[in-house]
Amino acid sequence: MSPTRARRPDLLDPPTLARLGGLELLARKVVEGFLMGLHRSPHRGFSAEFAELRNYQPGDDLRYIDWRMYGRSDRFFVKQFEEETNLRAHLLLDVSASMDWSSQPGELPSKLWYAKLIAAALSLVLIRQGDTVGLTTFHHEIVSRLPARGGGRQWAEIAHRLDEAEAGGRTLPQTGLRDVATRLRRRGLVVLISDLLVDREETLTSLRFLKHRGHEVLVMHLIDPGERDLPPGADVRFFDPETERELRINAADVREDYREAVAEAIREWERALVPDGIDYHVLDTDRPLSLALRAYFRKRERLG
Amino acid sequence: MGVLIPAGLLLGLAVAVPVLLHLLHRTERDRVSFPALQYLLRMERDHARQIRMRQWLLLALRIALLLLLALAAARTVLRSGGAAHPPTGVVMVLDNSMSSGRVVGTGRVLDTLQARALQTLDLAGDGDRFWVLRAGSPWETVTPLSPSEARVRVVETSVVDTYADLTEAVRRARTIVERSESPRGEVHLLSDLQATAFPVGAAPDSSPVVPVLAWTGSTAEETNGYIRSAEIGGGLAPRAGRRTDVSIALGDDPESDEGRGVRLLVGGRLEGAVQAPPGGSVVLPVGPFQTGPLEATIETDPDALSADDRLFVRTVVVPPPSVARVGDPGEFLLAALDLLEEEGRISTGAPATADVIVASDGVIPASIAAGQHLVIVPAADAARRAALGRQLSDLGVPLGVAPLRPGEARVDRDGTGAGLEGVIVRNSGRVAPGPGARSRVTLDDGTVWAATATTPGGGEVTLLGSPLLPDRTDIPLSAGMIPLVEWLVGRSSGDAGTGGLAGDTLRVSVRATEVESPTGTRTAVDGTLEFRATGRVGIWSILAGDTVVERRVLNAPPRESLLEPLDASELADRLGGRIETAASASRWRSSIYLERQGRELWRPLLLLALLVMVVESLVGATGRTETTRSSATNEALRARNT
Repeated sequence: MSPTRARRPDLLDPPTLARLGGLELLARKVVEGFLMGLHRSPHRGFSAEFAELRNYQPGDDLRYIDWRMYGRSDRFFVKQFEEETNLRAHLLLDVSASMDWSSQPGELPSKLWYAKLIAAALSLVLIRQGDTVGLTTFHHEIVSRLPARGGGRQWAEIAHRLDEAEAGGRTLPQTGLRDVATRLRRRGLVVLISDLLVDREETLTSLRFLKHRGHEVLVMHLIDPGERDLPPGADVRFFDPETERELRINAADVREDYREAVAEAIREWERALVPDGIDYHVLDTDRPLSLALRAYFRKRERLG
Repeated sequence: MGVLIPAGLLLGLAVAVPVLLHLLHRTERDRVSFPALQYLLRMERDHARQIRMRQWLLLALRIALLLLLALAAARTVLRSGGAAHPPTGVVMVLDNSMSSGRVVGTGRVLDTLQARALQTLDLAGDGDRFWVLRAGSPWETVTPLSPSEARVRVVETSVVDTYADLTEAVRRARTIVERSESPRGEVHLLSDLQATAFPVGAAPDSSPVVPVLAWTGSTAEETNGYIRSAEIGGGLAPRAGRRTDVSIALGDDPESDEGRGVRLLVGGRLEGAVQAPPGGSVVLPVGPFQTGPLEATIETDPDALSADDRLFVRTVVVPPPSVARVGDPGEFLLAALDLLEEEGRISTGAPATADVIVASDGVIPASIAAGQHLVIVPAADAARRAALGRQLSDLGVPLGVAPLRPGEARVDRDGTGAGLEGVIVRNSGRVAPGPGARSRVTLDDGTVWAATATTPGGGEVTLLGSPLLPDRTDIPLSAGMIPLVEWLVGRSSGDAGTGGLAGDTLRVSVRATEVESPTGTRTAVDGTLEFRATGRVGIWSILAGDTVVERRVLNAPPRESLLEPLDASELADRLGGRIETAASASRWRSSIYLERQGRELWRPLLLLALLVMVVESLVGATGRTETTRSSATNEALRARNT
């Protein structure tokens, strides 16, 4: 790894990143690092209808730098056009009890921490691009709802809501998804960030419903590495922190079968979502956040 | 198929462990928070049958592993069929010692041992060679025999009254096998396995290669009563015309409540009888007898082992010894001698002709005749003690007079039987026994207070360390005074007692031509001046022509009366090498001719166990790790998802 890469927060592994600071600061660092690495602006759809100037960000297309403003002020400005503000994004964050779990407490952040950071980083990117962003946190019911808006204040509010979000309750994504579906009047981008330890059919129905309503849907499936593999030990009594349901099993004897079951579950999500035009990404919570951001930008590219 | 160590099969009980674990599925487990429980449920739903199958397979493999280990530990052998076996040299150590005459049921132990030996011979092949080594008759030469010849020798074996050293017998048997031309050999130990027959401390051979098959089906379960010892007159010869006491000790079980009748017979005539407590001692007064040899039999009620219920004694009844007194013996010694004379135990004689001369106060005769016994009670003053030393030296007696020692000492060992142990000797002199002299009384400071030596002329001298006076010793005031004086004046009258043990070698004089056993069988003696075939208890006669030169008493060896068996598990420690055991006729039949049992299977069994272990690991691993494949799968999924 080059020194430059090593300094980029978006490429840092989550345990290292978690030691750098609070959510807002981290989100900024992650986004800036990520955009610096793109070498080109993620912006698309610049129309001829000029709207305003904004500060240049690393990665912006040099074609849109306002050189005249540069000559006057010695600062780079980029011309902003009307179409850029059209995207309305809504983040759906799962804050159920299962999200507040880490296979290596103290070493590896929980899925919820990772999800919050993704949500914060995506919000910042969206807002910096002039899009509007809304946030809904949910478990078996809606915990918090923030309508989509743009601007720096909105991002600060989102960061505040994320900071306050606490895990609890059971996971019922359809609650949040249907709530969003009924509230979003304009078509936009819906990003579901969840560990998908849910009723699969119900969730699929809700996601398809959103898609049917014309929304673009991006599903970020968070997996702790400890969920891909059974913990060490032979005879173990597992219990679900959400339901308290228990299962006695000899982990040593079924370890490989379990791995296969997880892999098959992921494949099933993929087979069910992708044909319907729903983007699906599995994010391991021990991997850098740039993967999550890259998933978003791919989606954004397709949206044009 | 058979096993050499049946106890090893107990390991097979360990199969209960995985079975119980499997069935109970363990009650205590770690409780782990795991949100992805639905994946587990899904896996269980999708693979339930496969998991169950694998668990049953693992259970079966683990049970098989334990069973294989148990079979290996039990040393399983694969036998070839029938009695066929390669030519084998077999030394049968047949224990015909006294204890094999014990009656069990309707037969003797030896009958059972013979039956096992014949069982061996029944399965013999033409190429087999046999040696029948009678453990109770170690003087016999042992030669290789055909099965039919061995059968005759086994049948002709009778119980003798000797002790058998089975450790030595097995060592000898192994040597015979090793030196024989037989490519395969084994030793059959047919015995009642008395613990005393395997002397403690008799180290086994370093690494004997010849296997031993030991019969363990004739061990004794009951205790045995016997006459342990007898002593006439406290070790002194009976005096003619006077009654004498015979002390008899029984070797009964002290826990038994039953007393036993004890009788003394002389020439078949009952001389005395008494009821003895179990494990105790009794004193039987008998006599009077006339001067001359006295041969008696002491017997008790017979039990399952009757050979040790009789004891033979032989002594010589002598007239009271004549005692001459020289010098002043002091008032205590004088009183003791007077008392003995009043009791008729001694008579007074002249120094020249007396049997015993008691010389006191430093006065000793100039010469001692052959057969005379001189008892010297030294003076107390140093000058006369020094003169006494010179006189003894002039007489050629290897006894010295040591200077007086101040202070006290106690008698440590008393060889006179007077019970002087612990009695104080003070400001006393000591005796310095020279070569050939025998210490009689030893003090606790290691010095000698009384000793005996012979003179060149055939006489005998006993020297005391100090006068028998209260200022020199407490002996005159003790209960041991009279017994000591009687021992001093009486011991020259001839030994009396129970002689040697059956099986002892009899040394015979050059004049001897034959030895006659107690049953009247005469055997010519060879030129070795030794006769070893003393297999019977009783009184043996050594003859020169028709003249009896000597009569010797041989009794039952007390070790043979102790029937407590050696634990079979200790046999290997006592005998070394490979030891197999059999406790039943059928087991014996299946165990003999070890080569017939074929190859031991522990190696292939262990290899098979190893193979099962590997298979178990592989089967288990399919559900456990498969690190490479699973990691690759996960990495592929991750890569695709990014």
